[in-house]
Amino acid sequence: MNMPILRLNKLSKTFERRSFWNATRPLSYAVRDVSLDLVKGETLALVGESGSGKSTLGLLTMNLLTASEGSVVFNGKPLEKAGAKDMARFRRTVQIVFQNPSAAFNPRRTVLATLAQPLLLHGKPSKTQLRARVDELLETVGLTPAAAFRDVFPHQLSGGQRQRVMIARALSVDPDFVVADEPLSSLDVTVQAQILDLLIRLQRERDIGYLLITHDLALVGEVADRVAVMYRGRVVESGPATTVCDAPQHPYTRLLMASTLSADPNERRIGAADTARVFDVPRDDGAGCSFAGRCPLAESQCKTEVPVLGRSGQPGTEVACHVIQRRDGDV
Amino acid sequence: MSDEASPLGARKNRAELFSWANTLRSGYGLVGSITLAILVLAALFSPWLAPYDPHAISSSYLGPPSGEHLLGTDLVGHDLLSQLLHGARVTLLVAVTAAVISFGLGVLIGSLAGYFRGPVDAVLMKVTEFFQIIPSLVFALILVAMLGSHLWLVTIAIGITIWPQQARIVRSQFLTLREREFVQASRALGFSDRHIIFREIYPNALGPVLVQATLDIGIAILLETALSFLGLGDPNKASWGQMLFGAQEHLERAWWIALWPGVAIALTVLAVNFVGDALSEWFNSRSDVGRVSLQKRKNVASPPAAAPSRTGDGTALLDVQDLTVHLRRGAKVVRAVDRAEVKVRPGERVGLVGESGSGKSMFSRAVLQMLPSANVETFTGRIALDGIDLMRLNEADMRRVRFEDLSIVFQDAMTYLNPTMRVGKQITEAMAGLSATDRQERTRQILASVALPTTTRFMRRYPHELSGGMRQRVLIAMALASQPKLLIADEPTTALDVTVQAQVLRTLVAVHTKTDMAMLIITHDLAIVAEVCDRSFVMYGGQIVEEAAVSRLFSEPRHPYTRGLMASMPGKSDYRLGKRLTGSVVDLTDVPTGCRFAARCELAHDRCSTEPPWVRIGDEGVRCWLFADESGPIGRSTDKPADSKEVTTS
Repeated sequence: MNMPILRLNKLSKTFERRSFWNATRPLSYAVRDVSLDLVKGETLALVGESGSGKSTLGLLTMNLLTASEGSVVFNGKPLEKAGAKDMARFRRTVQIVFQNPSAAFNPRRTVLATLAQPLLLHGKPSKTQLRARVDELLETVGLTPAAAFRDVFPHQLSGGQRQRVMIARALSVDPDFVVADEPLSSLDVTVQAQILDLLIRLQRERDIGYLLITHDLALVGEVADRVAVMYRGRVVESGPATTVCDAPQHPYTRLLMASTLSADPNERRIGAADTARVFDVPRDDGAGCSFAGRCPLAESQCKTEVPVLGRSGQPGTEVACHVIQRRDGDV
Repeated sequence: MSDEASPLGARKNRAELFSWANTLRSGYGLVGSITLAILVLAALFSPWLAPYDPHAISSSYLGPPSGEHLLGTDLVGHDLLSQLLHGARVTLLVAVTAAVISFGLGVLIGSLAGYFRGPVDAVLMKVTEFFQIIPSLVFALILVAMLGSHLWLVTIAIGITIWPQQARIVRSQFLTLREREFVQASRALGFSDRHIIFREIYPNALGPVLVQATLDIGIAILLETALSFLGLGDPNKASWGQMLFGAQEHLERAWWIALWPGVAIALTVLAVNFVGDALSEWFNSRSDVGRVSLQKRKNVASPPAAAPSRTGDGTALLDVQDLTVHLRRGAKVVRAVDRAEVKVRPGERVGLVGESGSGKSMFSRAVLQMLPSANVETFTGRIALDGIDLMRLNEADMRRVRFEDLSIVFQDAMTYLNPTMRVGKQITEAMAGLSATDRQERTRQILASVALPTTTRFMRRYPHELSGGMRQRVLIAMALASQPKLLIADEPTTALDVTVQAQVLRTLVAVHTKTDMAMLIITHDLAIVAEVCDRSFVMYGGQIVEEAAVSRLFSEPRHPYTRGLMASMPGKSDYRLGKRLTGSVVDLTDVPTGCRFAARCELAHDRCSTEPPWVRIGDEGVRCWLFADESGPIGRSTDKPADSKEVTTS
């Protein structure tokens, strides 16, 4: 296995919870004690529902947010100790692709200007070099002929084309690793497949590593090498994507898999038989497993003691669940 | 189908109404800017325009308007017209300078606070608040009283008292824009703070800031007047305020002395505000290009509906035939729905699948008669619900249909729930003709059927206190309250998490099995159709391109577009083969005359340049030339000349 490009070391991020009546502001954890290795050429899928902290973790990885505890280690050095030179290298090595291509561009700048800016920042190309480089980028992401796209404004492009420009912008600094935060979810189904193919091709050609932040488990099964499942700010299960998708261990991962819609009308997963169980998702008071309130396996230990990631019965996967760990420990 | 003449008439009236309103709106801006331009010119050229030296003293004092002194004279005998013209110079100079000071201070402090946030923000905002709570007049009074009445001092005093509003606007612009993804992307690329502030944020924050700067000019004029009126103006520089100050003792004998400066001030402030309004209108219109507002109004006035005509073949609950909806967008026409045929039978679960821009949402709005009426170009066809032609109903009858027979569940529950009304009340409101206790009882039943708590405590909660999935189920409960015959669910789970989506879909299925209600589920997600529906329509480019039983649709899709959709769906076997559709959805403002999918179709051939027929194959159908001369299992198409738009046999 390659050396990791980035190492997320026990990252936590807290936000102040504002209350109208109460002047003291209790901290709420968006991300709690997450450690991950990000490797070149490999796709790590970060799966979770809204509020699980997966996008916050993406921003922490990019150093667009500062961690409250823990650190992002780049080149063997924590980023908070990195100097200007290291920081510039970090920015060239790690890039981000956002979810919503319509918000991701300065509306007053053409495609050429958008792509030229990072090139000018990180080098001193001549005007003709610049133009050639922009054309090359546009062609790389499948916007051909480049001349047709150079001088238009982002809002004149379709969603898929905009997403391609966004990917071109990330590629402009020739990164080794790209954080892709729900890169498909605002696109049409047929366009999603095109963009996904593009991301996969780029990975093959340039050996780029991805942190693919998504809520779509069907996607994970198709493209990811490894997967980390997040719930309420913690990673509850991680391991090789095929293992986790085929044999989910943690009760939450199982719930996720059971909720994923089938692509086949003959194998429906949503039956009328299982009437929807309602839970008013209980507030997480920090004690115990945060999934305990919804968990069918929950025991008394789960309400008092926070489970930590540990080995599970499946090879290569780790699970943060008392019940599963005890069960597999006995085996 | 419906009468063509009356919709045209109705549309014209509405169009006239709007163009009139538009003219008035842009008229504000025009009147304002012309008035301002005249004022500025008059101020600039006052030495040449004024008939007398403003300080020249004539023999007539307190003279009324006359041929010699057009606006009269004041106590000392100054010519008021000359004074007014010269006063314009002073007043405008003070106002503009003060506005510039306010602009500078506001932008500086607002951007520092908004960009750096944290302690910088806290300190600067405390300062801003401090300046905002000290009464500006008192502050100016103290300043002038301490340092004397100089014009520049008055100007600075005004500038210093009005900047906090500007600072707040700039700060909020920064706070919003800072989180926007293009700014985040610039940070990720390693750009400096300076670049981000000046190149990314300022150009986009300009609108509201300029508008406020314009309004500041008006505020400054009023403040200057107030200060002068209190006797704090510079006595050597005769502003309009000074003129008013001089007039106050002679109001009873010589009304004209106060009138002219008063009118001038009022006009100027009004003109400035007009320009500000027009500017803000302009900036707003630029920032939301193409947003369509929905109005619950039918513009297709129906012919004096006799008894609702019962038509249709009796088997279909919803019977849509030949439905065409074209909308205006600017100078273009969006062909949102073209000649759509959709049938939903009682108790059936039917899907309508399409990508964005397929026209599926306009289809559902057309069925509900809730099109954005100001933009409707063409709205024809037949929409029958249980035999009643909805196109011929007047607004009151249609409202009753919406209330009783037809319900819709939208994607975004929070926007469709009333945030200030308790959940229970919202469900109860959707019921008709029951006693209060019956309603309570029924509400509990409905809540139970969508798997929500039936406690009074729950019913007394407000929408914002619920989770997304609960809200969506409240919306479903509201839709069920009237026991509709047809429930239209327009992207019912799109904004929801997967686990919640599964719950909501389960709820829908469970509700369906308990009642006789039919469902039309409009979605972009094939997986939802696979899970929930019996039969489905596929829409592309405003047309229905395929209709099939769901099991068949997934096992043997006919239309090349449907095949492409299936291949784009992770989890389907075709997905890994990588047979992707290229290109993007056809532009509905510019559809080709032939097959709308031809440009993306691998199997396109010469026939596809003419519009493909709707080929019925038994209970199913497909709009594609490939099936036009291939006998289906039961029926086959008749070969009509190519110019006939549709070939339908069944």
